[in-house]
Amino acid sequence: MTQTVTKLQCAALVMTTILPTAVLILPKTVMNSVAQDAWISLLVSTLGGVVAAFALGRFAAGTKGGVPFQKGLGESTGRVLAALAGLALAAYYFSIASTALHEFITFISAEMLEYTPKIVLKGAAVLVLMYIAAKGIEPIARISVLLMLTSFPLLALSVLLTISKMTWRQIEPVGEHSWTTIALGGVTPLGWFSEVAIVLLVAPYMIRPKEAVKGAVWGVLLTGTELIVMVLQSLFVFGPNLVRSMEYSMVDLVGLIEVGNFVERVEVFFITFWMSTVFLKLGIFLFGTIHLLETTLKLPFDRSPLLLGVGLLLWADTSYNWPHDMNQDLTTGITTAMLLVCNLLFPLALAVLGRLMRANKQAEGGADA
Amino acid sequence: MKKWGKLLAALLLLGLTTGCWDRTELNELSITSATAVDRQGDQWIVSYQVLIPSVVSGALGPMKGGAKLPITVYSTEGPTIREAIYQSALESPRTLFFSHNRVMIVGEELAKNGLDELIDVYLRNSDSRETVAVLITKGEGRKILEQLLQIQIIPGDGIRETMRTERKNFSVLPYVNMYKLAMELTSEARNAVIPEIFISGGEPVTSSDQMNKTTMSSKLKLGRLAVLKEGKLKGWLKAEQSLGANFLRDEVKRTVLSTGCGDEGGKNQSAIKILNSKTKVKPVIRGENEPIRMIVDVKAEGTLLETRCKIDLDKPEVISKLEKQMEGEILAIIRDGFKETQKLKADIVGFADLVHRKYPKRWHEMKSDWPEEYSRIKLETHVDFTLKRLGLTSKSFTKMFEQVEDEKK
Repeated sequence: MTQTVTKLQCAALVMTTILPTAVLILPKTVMNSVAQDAWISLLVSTLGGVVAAFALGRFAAGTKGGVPFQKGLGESTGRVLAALAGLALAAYYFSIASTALHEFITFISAEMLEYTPKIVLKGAAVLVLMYIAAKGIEPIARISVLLMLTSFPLLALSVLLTISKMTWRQIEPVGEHSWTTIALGGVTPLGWFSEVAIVLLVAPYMIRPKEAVKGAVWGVLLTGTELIVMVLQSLFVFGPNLVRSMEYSMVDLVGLIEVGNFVERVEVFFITFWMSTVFLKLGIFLFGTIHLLETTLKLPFDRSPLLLGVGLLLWADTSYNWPHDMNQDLTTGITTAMLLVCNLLFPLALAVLGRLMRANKQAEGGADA
Repeated sequence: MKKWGKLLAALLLLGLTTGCWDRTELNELSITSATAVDRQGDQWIVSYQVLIPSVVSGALGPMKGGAKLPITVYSTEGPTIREAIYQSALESPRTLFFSHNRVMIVGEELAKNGLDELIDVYLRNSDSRETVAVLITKGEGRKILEQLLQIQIIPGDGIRETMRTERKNFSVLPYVNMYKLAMELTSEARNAVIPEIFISGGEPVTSSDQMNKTTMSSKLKLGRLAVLKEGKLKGWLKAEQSLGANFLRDEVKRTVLSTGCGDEGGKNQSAIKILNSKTKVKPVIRGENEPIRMIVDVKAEGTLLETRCKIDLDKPEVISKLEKQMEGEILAIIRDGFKETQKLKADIVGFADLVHRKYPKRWHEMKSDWPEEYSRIKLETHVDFTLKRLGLTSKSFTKMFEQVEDEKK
């Protein structure tokens, strides 16, 4: 295990883990709850995300550099609990990779490749993900930085090209919804922000694991900023009522770009960039699964057979687990609960348990002395 | 050996990643440049203006007698819009391709029944683009698609360009596309507008022989403004009333108005081009039963294009009087347009959104009765017009002519 990941790369990894799917789902979901106040809900959830990033970052910063998360956990909570936690988190990353892959391919199918069987699209995507996961976290981190640096000018360009279609006053009346409703509207985005938990797996690979806190917090802040800009952009152009009925409002938004008769249909350019970020996100999840299984099961062979097995399982799971494509309840309800439990509650419970057990050991050590 | 294995695997992968189920050859597509949708009983009639690529590419010169036309028009029928479209498979060797569709013509009968289903088709399917311009016509939409244009080879393109030019230079009618229509119909007022297109003149021009004349027997023309309430056609505004509504919607970019001579009174003596116009509207609600007041501030600038007034434009007081008269003209246009929308009880100017933004609590109380509330609104309009330029001469030719006559005497 080599420690090469920098603070910037850590922030970029956090951003790549959260943004690609959040950008697709959140405008509609949040505006459904709080209409034009969606940006306030996002602001609130970004702040919540920052707190979560700080807490998870602190937990991650406590691990020793070069020692995988699951192994480090074993030292504080005991082997059995660490093994169970490792398997549970591996199952979580696998499950979330399967869900996100299904959503991604549903989008590709709806927008571009209608007649190509989804099983083929999913198979091709799984092969790419296996390649990404095989390369490990360092190349993923380097590419994440490139994508992060590209995403800002691209976002600025899309704002610039749609600025003539914007009505700033769509944001009014500000704060029409009660604070309870606004806070509830922020629950789904908070679920997405909780994916900052990836920092637990990344920290041991960092040159200075202590910087995991800053990396996680910056990652959430940058993601929150981009999401707020995107939601405001959709709001200003379409108004809150139309966005509610749009499955992919950001795609519809860039589809409106027309400059005279010579710049039209540029959405494919934006979609291509977005697809690369989704591949990277899914690659991170598959890497998370493989990494956790590897360290938990202590397999006596190299990564390839495991990668092949998990890849095949992912292909089968994502292909046959979804009788229907529409998964609104799943993405907003069940997934949010799962995200919050697996990314926030579970790791934080492990952190508390680890501290208690360490304190107990120290107390016992003191008593023995 | 390992290298060869990798190469083989890569080649095999290529076979999987081409997306060949969605492969479409250009010569398998019917590219539509315009579409019309009509309703006949319980059936949808969808008409297509389809390009003939080989003719379009070679049709840059004038039409020769008997030459092939760049488009063909045909219709299909079905119980739903999409089924009607798929019925085209029974008569066309090519698949209809809507990504280059420029305009959508809606028949009056359909508009009376409601446009919900049509908008749903556009929002639901990725091959139909929301940027398509929407127009309405009395009678059948298909007739509009059949009409040929002389200057623009592809009529669908020509119609859209006419709409764009009109919006840029005359601003009487708004440019409405599908997403804007959906947005207006989902706004607080739930009302929208669509510009009218009609065939002006005699016999429709549908063959190349008719095109080879300097004057065509008929042409496509933009007309009035259709007013939709809850997605259904409820009435029409005349061009000048539409301009008034456009002032209130802050959608006037440039336009030309005829006015008098300021002091001397009279009408249609001078033409002034409005170059910049900005409208700010502020709702004011006082008592419980008081009607809502809308404070409208219009700031406009313009240039004198033509005059036959015997006035000395070098004098500031003369300019000031001309400006006052112009302000009166704009005021009258706004009032007339607004009054007509009040008669229809159709808030097409977006006042509902303004009230919601400024008085959210009151809005929820009056929301259900908005058409009535709208018809009672009192408009307080203030127009501030500045004549920025006089053109290349400060005196009218009539005045100069008069001066020469006086000197002769």
